Amino acid sequence: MQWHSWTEFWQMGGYGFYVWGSFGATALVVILEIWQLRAQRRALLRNLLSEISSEEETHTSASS
Amino acid sequence: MKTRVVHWFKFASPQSFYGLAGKLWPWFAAVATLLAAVGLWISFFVAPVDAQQGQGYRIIFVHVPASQLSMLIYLVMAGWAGLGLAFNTRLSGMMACALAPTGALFAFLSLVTGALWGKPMWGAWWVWDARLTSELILLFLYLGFMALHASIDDPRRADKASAVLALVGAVNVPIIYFSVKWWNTLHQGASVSLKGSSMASTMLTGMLIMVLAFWMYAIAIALVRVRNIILDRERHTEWVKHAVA
Repeated sequence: MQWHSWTEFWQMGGYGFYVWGSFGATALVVILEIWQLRAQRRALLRNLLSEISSEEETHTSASS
Repeated sequence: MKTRVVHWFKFASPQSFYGLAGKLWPWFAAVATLLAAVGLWISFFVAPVDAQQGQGYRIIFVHVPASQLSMLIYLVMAGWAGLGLAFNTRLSGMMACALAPTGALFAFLSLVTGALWGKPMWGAWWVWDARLTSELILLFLYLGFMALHASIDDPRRADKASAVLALVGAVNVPIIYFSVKWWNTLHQGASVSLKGSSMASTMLTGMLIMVLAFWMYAIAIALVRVRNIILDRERHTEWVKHAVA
């Protein structure tokens, strides 16, 4: 183990901003991409289901 | 003797690929998470401090995977695009579209982490060096591919037009890769080659595990995104209505 304290770990030998900035940017991109895909899928399913139910309504009103 | 025939072309139909991708992506996501956990542990707790760059070198554990994937994803994307042009399969264009945003994000990350590495080591966020400039062009190629695809209403025509762009742009990938050899660049040369590595073995192990983690992430994400694209483009078909109802 090479770190004697948490402070030392966060400081990264003076490169803290650059190291944590890099890992933070990567983590942020990954989180946003996953979140965007989930939101997109939910919106797609919502639209599909409403399309299907509105089609069914027109079918039933036409047959009655 | 009875031989088992695998009908690979079966999966070229969006309908069967939708199901296959749905079964596969959780596995890739699980492996990616596992590899990232091990890779991060090695990055921060096992790999020793670098003699020249101190702790600042640890940026390598995200910079190299992001850069490598940005180039690799482009080649795979251009490959799918080329298949689409050659065989006129619908799935090919969808796969190319599913890969582009992830490739663009990795190219962006490569530039951001590179800037964060360049500032303390070279004293500059950005230089117009061959490696950096060609990587920036890669990001623009991804953005151009997506913008061109989005600007054409008919998805099949959009697939064809953007496929040509993807194939022409592929010439940039070897330029990025060999830029550090062909020109005098501020960017350092490859740390790993077929002849061996100039890094400590735990650094190399950590980097390779992170590269693999990024690969698995990219595959999982592309499978999830292609499912969204399939749902969107096939929304008027009967099978989609049955699948979501």
